[in-house]
Amino acid sequence: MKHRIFQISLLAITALLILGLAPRWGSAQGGGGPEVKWAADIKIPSAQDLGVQKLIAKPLAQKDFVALSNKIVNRVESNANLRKAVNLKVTKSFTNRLAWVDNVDPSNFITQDSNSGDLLFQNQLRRYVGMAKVQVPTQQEAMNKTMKFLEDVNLLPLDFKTNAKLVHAGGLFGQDFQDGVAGEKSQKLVILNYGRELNGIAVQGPGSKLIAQLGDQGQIVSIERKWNSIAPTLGGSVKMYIPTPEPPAKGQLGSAPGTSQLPGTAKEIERRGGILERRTIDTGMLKLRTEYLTDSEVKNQINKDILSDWNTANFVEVNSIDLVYYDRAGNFIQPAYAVALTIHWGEDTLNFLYHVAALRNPPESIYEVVQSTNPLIQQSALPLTSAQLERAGAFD
Amino acid sequence: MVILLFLVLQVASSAMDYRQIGGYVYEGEHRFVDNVWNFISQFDDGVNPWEAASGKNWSRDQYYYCEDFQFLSAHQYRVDAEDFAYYSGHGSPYSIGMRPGESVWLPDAPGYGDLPNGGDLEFIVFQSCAVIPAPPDRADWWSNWWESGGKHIFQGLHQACGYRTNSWSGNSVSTLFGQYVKIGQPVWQAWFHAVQTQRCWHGGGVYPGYACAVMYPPNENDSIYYYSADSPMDAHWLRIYWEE
Repeated sequence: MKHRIFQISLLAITALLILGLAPRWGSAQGGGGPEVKWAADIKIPSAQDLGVQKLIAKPLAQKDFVALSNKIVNRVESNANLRKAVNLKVTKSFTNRLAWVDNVDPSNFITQDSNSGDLLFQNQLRRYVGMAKVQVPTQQEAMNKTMKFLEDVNLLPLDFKTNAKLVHAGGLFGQDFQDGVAGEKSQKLVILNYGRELNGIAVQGPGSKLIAQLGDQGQIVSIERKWNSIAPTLGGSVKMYIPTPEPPAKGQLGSAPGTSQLPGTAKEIERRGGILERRTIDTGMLKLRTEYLTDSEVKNQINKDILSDWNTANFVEVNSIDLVYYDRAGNFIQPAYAVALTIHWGEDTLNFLYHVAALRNPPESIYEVVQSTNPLIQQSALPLTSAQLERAGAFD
Repeated sequence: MVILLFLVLQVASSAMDYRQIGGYVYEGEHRFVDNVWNFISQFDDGVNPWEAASGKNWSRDQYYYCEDFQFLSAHQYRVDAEDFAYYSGHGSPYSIGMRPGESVWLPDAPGYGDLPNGGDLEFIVFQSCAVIPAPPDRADWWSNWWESGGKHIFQGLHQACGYRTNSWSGNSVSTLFGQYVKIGQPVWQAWFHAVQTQRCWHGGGVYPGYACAVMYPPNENDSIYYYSADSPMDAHWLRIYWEE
């Protein structure tokens, strides 16, 4: 019996030793995960001068949405279907979205996210499908037409003239291939991509964007507006995001000054009272010197992300880390690092850009959080293998 | 009014034409799982007003980690048993990854959507890098969608959407695309809008890349609620739209 206990103990100790010594998959210490190669001249820029800016989402009430739709429809050129469809009822259901769609031609529509206020309007895209020639406007003509349209329908964001920058002017193109012959390439639309810049620093992420598509002779074909207002306006009195220490629990010491946690949402800030203050500052941004990640924390986070997200790669190069603002189309613009990677699998490579929050406790996460528990993870029967399929008669 | 709408939807649901959505995930990085889930989770068994009007009720059906047979030998039980297939993973021109070291060369795939052979697929989306090259990337962009050894996937398939350049995961492309598709936008146009709104330019790169879509031209205005007849199996006509 003693001998048996000894054997089991020896087995257990050996197993523990093996488990303890075995390199862990994804370990930052160079185990089974990809090697991370940092560019020699890489520097982490200081985020100390960048602050958090609260945004105001202004989703429209249904009646205001209808009024806006009418205004847009009356402004756009010769679209009988769209005009007629104004009388269709607006639907608010499922996706938290107000949507107003032409039943005859669904490429005519106006829709708004009821949470964020993001708006997409499209007019007569059907006219541009097919390979007929289009007289597209020049870039300058397209910019002028876009500005005029935005002003006419009151969709010009408050800080657009001061903070918008044309980031890219491109287009939509088409080509046919029929009976072994390729047709002519045809430009269908001009696409203008506007982004936000604050104090010379680009705002990246899915928010702070305005995209205009223009067709024949500058006809406005679509406007996509993901541009919430900075509260209340730049250059004036701004709402500032002031961290205050959580009150210490009974019997506990309070936290040291400057190490407090930022509360999670603007609502929480307001609920706790006195935290959201109104002050005038030069930059319109709040400086929170003690709340930024240190250089080593940024590097550790990047290493961790690479090992988590690219664990199948042979090695990953970190090419650059640049300071930007980030707008996830949520409630804040916040400082972040844009991290450019090159991922290598054998001979395959991929250039990839992602963002790391510069604040230790960002007011909202950088990326969209998946809201549901993913059933793929829970369904142990999945995926079916070939053998299982064969047993199920799938190959009969 | 609410009760009336409820009754209308109830009556409508009893006469519904059911349509399936399948999701296929590269087995490797969790962001691909999220990408696919963010799209297919937009579709449940309920009936929305567009579904009631069109008579087509869309709901998610399959949701699998990738295996090559899903796209090849057993396609009629997997992607081709669905009406809409959504893939996310690593890609390269005409090729999609299953997991590290395994991929499917799409010109090897049989015809999709060919009803006589048990295929049903109308729309397929590749949220992955560079699967659909366009003229700026490759002058003979059609070559591998066309008859390659007697095979090509457009044998009833209406539209294939993806990127002509690198893509970028971990963002809201698939969520937004699902929402736009669901309100009845033509499929490839919804894809282009969803990709456009997530894009940024940084250090000379474009993230995510540029959208691209190949289709049988008579199907180019198709939404999930209203679409025209399948392409004939011997159709010799393709159209491509791309951004640059």
